[in-house]
Amino acid sequence: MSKCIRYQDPTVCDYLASQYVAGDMTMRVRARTESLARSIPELSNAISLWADNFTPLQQALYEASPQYHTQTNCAHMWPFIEQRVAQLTISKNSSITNKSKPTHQNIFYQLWNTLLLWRVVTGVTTLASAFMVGVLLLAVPDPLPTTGPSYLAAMSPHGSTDQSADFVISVYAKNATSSSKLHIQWAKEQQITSQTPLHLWAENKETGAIEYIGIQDLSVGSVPLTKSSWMAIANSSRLFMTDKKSLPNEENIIFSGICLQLQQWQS
Amino acid sequence: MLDKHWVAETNALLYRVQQRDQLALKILYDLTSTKILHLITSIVHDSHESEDVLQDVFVNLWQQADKYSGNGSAWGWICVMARHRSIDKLRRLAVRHHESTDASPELLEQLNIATDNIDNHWIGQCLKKLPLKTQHVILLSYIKGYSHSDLTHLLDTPLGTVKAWIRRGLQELKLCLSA
Repeated sequence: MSKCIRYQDPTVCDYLASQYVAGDMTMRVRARTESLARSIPELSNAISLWADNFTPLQQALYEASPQYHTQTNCAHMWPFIEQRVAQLTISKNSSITNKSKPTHQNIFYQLWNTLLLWRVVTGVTTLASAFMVGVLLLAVPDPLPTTGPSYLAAMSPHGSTDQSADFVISVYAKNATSSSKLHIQWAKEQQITSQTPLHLWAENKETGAIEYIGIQDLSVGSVPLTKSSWMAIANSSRLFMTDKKSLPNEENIIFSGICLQLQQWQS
Repeated sequence: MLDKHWVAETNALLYRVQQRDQLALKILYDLTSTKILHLITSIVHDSHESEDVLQDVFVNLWQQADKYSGNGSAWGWICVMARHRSIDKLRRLAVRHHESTDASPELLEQLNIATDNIDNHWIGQCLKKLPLKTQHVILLSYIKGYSHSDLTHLLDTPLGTVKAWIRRGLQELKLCLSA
């Protein structure tokens, strides 16, 4: 039996997953397990299941230590983390920049600099690039705004006890250059489960009334929103998706998710 | 008990971190850091070392957010990562704060309170169905990060027996959870 097939065996998979989550593995074995989990969905699922089974224990222990809650404040550590994350971001960006720069010691670069021909080549290339950019701007749909979304809903199959989300709906406010948008991001290991467009509904957080947003093709990443759709999502507590355009009920809801307002993040 | 809204918010924040949103990382930190520090301290014990591990966990989270596949909850994924970083720290420090089950009633009491608190949850119910020794080795391994050889010394029991308890215990837990 080959290694990969062996790890697809549910018993082996489950034992490995339980050891990864709750047991004793060396760093090397753990790294190997992570590598296997990336190529074997059964193992990845088993790890997630064990992780979600065991986290209530951590929560219970945390709740059993009330004195800890009042004595612990982690806020003072955030600046150090922020600094390390910023350094990582800068070093990543600078390594990309450095890779694209030719070294000045490079003899070919120096020779090239001395040639008159480079001016002609640069001129022609610039014109061609400008033309290509123009064509692409006409052909490619609006990119997502660079600021974060205002609302977000992690959508799971309705009634599922699983705590993971199949996809996330992000809703972006309009800005100077683009209208408000709804964007769908599928979880890495999820396939697009519905090939037919679904109907999107919002449940009003004050009244509980259900408002229709529109039909949504799940394979399309980003779509513009009308003002009324934007308002319906802004005032919603939950989003639902149904296969037919009939009011959501327990039978016809395919996906549902709590709608979170994220605007306070921006402040 | 974790509420659904909290779990959904944690999931949503991790998706934003995958999109390199630093503000989302900060909110995730505010939301989860005390719980994660509690998990880390249970294993590492030393408060300064635990704070170092907490920093590492969030820097790792930033670097490796794209490894979260969307299977299971983001909170489960973060807990597993924090536990692994804590065990790694403990191994690097080569220190184990040995606690005898007889000499440390506090630990047992804490574990008992924990399992009492989760009576309504299936893992609590399933754990309590296991023999007492098996409950202890699983909790000491998962919560306190004890290795098999640590447990051998702590319980003065042969390594093979400890491994068998854990293996059988996890199998019984699995059967109970899927029943």
